[in-house]
Amino acid sequence: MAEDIKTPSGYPQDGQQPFQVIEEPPLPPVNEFKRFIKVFARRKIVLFGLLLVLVILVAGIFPSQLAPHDPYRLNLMNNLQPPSSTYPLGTDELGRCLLSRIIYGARLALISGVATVIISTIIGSAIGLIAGFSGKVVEDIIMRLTDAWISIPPLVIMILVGAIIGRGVMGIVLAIALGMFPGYIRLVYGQVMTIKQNDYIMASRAMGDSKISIALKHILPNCISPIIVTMTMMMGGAVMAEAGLSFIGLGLQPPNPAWGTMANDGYTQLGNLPLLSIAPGLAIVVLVFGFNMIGDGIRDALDPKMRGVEE
Amino acid sequence: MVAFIVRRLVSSLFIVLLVSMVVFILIRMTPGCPVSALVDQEINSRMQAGEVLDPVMQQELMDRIFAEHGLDLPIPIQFVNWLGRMLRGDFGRSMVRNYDIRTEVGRRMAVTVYLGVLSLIVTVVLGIFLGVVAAVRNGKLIDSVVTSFGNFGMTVPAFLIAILLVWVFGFLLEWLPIWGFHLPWRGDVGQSIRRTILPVVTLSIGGIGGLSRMTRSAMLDVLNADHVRTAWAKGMREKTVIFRHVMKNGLMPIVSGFGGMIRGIFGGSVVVETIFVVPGMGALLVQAMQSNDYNVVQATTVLLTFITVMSNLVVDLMYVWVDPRIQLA
Repeated sequence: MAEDIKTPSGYPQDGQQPFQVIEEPPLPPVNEFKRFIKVFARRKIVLFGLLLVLVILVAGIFPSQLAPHDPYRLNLMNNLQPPSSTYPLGTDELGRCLLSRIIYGARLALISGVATVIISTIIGSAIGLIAGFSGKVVEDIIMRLTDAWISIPPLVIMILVGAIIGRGVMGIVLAIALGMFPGYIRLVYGQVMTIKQNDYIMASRAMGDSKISIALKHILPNCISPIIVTMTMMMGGAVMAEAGLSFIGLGLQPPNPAWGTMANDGYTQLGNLPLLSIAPGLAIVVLVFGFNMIGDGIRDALDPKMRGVEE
Repeated sequence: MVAFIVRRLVSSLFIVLLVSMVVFILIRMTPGCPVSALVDQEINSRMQAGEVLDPVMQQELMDRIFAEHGLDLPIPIQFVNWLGRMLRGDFGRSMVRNYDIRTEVGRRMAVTVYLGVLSLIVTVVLGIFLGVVAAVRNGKLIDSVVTSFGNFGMTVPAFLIAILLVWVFGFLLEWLPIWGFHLPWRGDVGQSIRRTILPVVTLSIGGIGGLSRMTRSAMLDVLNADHVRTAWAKGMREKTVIFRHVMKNGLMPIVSGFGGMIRGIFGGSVVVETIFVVPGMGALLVQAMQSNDYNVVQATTVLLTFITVMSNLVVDLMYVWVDPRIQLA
């Protein structure tokens, strides 16, 4: 019986090639890391921003080696000195060396930028994933609560949480993180909703994968890139938020050398020693600018549209 | 349309209710109590009057003052009481300074809204204008000037802008007053305008930076579209092409940034009012937070949240106006 089944006449037989295969030369393997670096370093201003952040990072790691004086030592005989060779940026109202205080403030500024963003990313992404993967009821509750949370002026949240936990470094970091995290919920939730439509998710479900394994194996990796981009973009914002809080006296409490507090303390002397408030303010600008540029670079480097850009 | 607005209004009210509940609880979790200062004051004045107060009497006094402010009740009941009074338009009195909150907030709201609306107008007009100019003259000198200004506005914190402005215009040039504010219809008009300039400029710069960037990139996308090339090819004048064909489509992303802008201006008012000693809502909020004045914090947050929620609703309605394809769901 088997012989009766004939191959249809139109089909080539006896191992003939059905159609001509044109051998394409294989594409050279792309080293993702190298490509990332190349695109990242394409713009000089991005590298400049990276350099600025690195300088501040060094100041934040080795403040005691770099600072010419003790940033906390009061010296009322020497207060409000103009810049001189001993005090490169002068001294504040309590006779403390301004440059040393700015250098010691670098660590606080970096922590408030990086730690807040990491914490709010983790909380926000986790909740966003849960919202995108649970039933209608849980999803609705989470997203409506997120809407409500976003409607509270972030400053109010930050001030209240800061007051409850205490205005130390940890308290302020948590306060700012709680002010920022709903943004990540919306971001990740939106990603999940888009990615869920894909056929490979359906295939994965058909193969009997559990929701959790789909979330971790397929959804999360696809969210990483927009999350990283948003994180770097938000770091500048977090630094600004901390500086603003400290400026109005509801951020890090003295004697912490927070740049915002210093700018506010120096404001009373703006007429005779403008550097006292402008110099800490400029330090914030430098850090925020650096973070924003790094963010721009990473966004370009992770953007699929920028693939193959070799300039 | 009407159904949409009604539904959104209901959900907005729900959000405001939820927020006021959260703030009500959070503010009572903060360490420090608004009336303990009052208690100390009372005890001191009585001791000075020669009265002898043993701990039991002191405790009684404290209980009485707590009860006067309704703080001895369980928090849920306090909340219901507060809600009932607020719905009748009574925000209560400041626990620390004993003023009527409704009058005070009304006076301050006028100031903040006045400055906020002025800044919003300046931001929208200048931001869109600069963005359009930069996009139309893409790659020219004016483009890089606008782009750098945009970056400046987004990198420099509001308080540094204020400090620099005060330093230059207040101390170096001595052109403008550096603190104080009154509404133009409440006194000398010229002085009021001079006092308005620095706060409004400070509030606007960040927004102008962001808006001009957004406008520029939105316009650039549209400028390369086919229908714009056709418009040019038909020999239309530049103005007609830009306003009729590019602007209309480029407005979309701008509208989406609008909500953030309003929030930014109200958030910025806290810093600006602190620096320029403006008697507005932002300054009141900081003051109330510092002294833990429950009622004042409650009233200001609820009002600010209400404004935010309403402006979000307006933004959503503007979407439909700009792009009729959008269906209100």
